[in-house]
Amino acid sequence: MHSRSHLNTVIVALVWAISPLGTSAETKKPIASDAELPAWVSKRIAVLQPRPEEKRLDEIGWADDIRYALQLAKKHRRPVFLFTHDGRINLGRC
Amino acid sequence: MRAGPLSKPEVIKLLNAHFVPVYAVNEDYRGKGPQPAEERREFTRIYREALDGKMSAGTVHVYLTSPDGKVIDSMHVAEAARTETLLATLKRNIGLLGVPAGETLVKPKPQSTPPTGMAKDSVALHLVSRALGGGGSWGGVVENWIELTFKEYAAFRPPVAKLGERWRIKPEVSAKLLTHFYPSTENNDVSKNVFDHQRLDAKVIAVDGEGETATLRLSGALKMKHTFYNKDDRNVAQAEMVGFVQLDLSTSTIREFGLITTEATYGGGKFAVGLRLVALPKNQ
Repeated sequence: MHSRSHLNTVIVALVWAISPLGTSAETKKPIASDAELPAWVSKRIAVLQPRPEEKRLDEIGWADDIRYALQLAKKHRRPVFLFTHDGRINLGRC
Repeated sequence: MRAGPLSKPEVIKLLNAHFVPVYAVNEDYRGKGPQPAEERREFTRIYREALDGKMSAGTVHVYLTSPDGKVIDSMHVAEAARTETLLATLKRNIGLLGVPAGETLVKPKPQSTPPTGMAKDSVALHLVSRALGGGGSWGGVVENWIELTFKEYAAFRPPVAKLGERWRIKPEVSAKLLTHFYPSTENNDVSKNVFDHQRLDAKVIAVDGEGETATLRLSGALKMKHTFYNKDDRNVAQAEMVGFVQLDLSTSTIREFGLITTEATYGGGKFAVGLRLVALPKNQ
């Protein structure tokens, strides 16, 4: 069974491949007329944007820092879940 | 973790209803990182307490503390990234502590946000890089936020605002944008990227009104060494791109900006990058 992220990759790659005007390099032949360019570029950037299922991290109620998490834990008698990591999990760059 | 257990509804539900979730970026707690001394003390205390308690401890880890802040469990990310293992650990500790389900204590909000403390006349560009198959990366989609200062985006102002005018964007400005043109990899230290070549060329394709606004066509290319891990390898990102800029010539400001790869490869796989201007709230 394919994962959702794999399906997203396939969907975007398909949209990318069948997008009108092809993907030939600007240096070889213009891929969009000057008049069409802003809309063409904006549309393709929109296709790349993260989908809701790729932003589920945003559905978690993260505390801003460890001290605040510990304060809330004490006040509400809850355990703290701390994930330490290299890079930036909020950007996917980790 | 992000694309794995932290995207699974059952894990999200447990974290929100029974825990106080928090993540910590190691780089922020080291050297010149922005975290203050008191915050660093708690970060180090938790690590040390896990070690002293003969629990798993390390830099890329999950730690659970009791409501009083004492470390009660921990696991290496390789284990925590298995959803079933993480779920079992969360449920076991909920049971041991007898934590009833409750409301989410911190309102969930977007975690990817523009940089704070930007200069008043800077603009924020948002980058998305998405793997398109063929391997070579972790896959999925990753982001960056890039602050472009007034001085930097002045490089996009045409020397002469007339149709057909062409020039090359200052290499230090194009490099600042293009250094993020790689897919998801373990290494994200862009200071280690090495360009074989990179360029971004501009051409005026429209001038409107009394020369108040101009639209530019951008075209560019790069070849850049970017190692997948933090050790040396032969991985290279290569890309060609097109884009546009709409400028307000009277204020020398950018109204719109879009840049998209037409071809991009890394480590045998394909990827695509889109970069666009994001309007910020006035109070930012």
